Amino acid sequence: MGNIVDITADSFSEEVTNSRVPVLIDFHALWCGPCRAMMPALEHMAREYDGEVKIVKVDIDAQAAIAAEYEVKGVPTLILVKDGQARERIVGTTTRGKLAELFERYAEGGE
Amino acid sequence: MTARSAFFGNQGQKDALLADIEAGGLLTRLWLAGQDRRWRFDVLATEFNVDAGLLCLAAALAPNPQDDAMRTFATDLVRRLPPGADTTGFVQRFYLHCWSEAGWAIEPRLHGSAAHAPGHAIINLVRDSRSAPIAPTVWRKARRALDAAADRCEDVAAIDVLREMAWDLSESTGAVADVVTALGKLQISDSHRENDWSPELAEQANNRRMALWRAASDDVGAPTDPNDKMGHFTKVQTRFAEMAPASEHAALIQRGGEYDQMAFARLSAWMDAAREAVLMLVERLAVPTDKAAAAA
Repeated sequence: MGNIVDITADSFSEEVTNSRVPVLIDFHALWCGPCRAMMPALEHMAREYDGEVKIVKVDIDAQAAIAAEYEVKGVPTLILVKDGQARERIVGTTTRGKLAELFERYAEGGE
Repeated sequence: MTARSAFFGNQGQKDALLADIEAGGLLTRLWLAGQDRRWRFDVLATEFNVDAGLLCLAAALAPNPQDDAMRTFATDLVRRLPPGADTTGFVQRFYLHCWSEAGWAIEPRLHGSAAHAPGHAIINLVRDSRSAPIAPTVWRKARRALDAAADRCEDVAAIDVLREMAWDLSESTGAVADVVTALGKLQISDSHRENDWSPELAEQANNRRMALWRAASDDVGAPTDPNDKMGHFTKVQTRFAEMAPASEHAALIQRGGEYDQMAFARLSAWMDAAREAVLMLVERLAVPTDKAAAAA
C-alpha cells in the first residue's frame, strides 16, 4: 500500500485528474540527485497518508508534455492537484514535516 | 528496542573504520546513503552495529565528503565511540538536546506561546520513543496539535523544527536529516530577522536573481560543448556579473547576496556547533558510570 506509481500521458487522467483524493505529483528526472534523495521521504509520506493523499511520479524527460502543461521549469517540482486543479507548488526538495502540513490541509475535504 | 553494541564490541573493527575514513571511504558511503536509496543507512548500520539514525545524523551534518572538516568530524565521532557502546536512541537524545540544552535550544523560544504545550508534548513522545515505538497515529495527532497552535505563534522556524521531530524514526530514519534541514533554516531565518531582512524580501531578491540568471543564460546561448558543463556555467556566471549592475533590481539583488552571505556564515557556525554537540553526546553515551549501567 502507499506505492508511488509512475504516470504517463495515458494514465494521467485516471490517476490524477479524476482522482477522488488529492494527488501530489513529483516531477523528477532520472539524472536528478536531489530527486533521488527525496524519494524515501515521499515513500514514507505515501504510506503515512495512504488512502487520503496519493503520490505519483512524472519523469519530465519521458513525459515532457505533462511537464510543459504544468509549467515545470526544474526538478524536483512537487505539485498538489485537487479536483483536477493544481493548488500548491513546491520547487526544490522538501521535508516530511512540510509535506505533512500540506497534506493535513487538503486531506479529508480540506481547502 | 534492540541494543546496538557499537562495532560489535570489536576494537579491530573500529580501527579498520578509522582507516577507512582516512582513505575517504566511509564519508563517501555516508554521503551516498543520503543521496541515493541504493546506498542505505541501515546496511551501514548493520555493518558497524550502530544506530542507523546516528549515521544519518552524521551524514546530514557532514554534507561534503571532500571537506577536511567533515573527515575530522567523522574521525572524532568514531574515536569517541568505544566498542560496545549502545547507540540505540541516540537521535532522540540529540532531539532532547536541541529542545532544551543546546545554545540554539527551541524550548526557550516558545515560552509563553501557544506552541509551547504541543511542542512539549512532541518532546515527551520523543523521550518515550527511546524505550518503545510510538504509533504513527499518535505522532500525527501531536503534529496536528502543533499545527493548530502554529498560527498563534510567530516563531514559524521553531515550529518547523518540532514538526520534523514528530516522526517514528524506526519507520523513517531519514527524518533526522529533515530535522537538521529545519534547524539550518532556523539559523537562516534568525540571521535575516536580526538584519531586518524579511523572508518576503529574501524571496523577491532570489526571484530577481533567478530571472537575471535566466537572462544571462539566454544571452550566452546553448553550450557549444555538451560535455563541458562547468565551462558553460562559468560563461553564464560571467555574463550574470556583467548584467547585474545594469539591472533595475541591482540594489535588491546585491543586498540579497550580502544577506545570504551573512546567513550562510551563521549556518556554517551552527553546523560546527551541532557537530560538537553530537561529539559531546557520543562521549556521554560512551562513558557510562557503573551506577548508570546498573540503572540501565
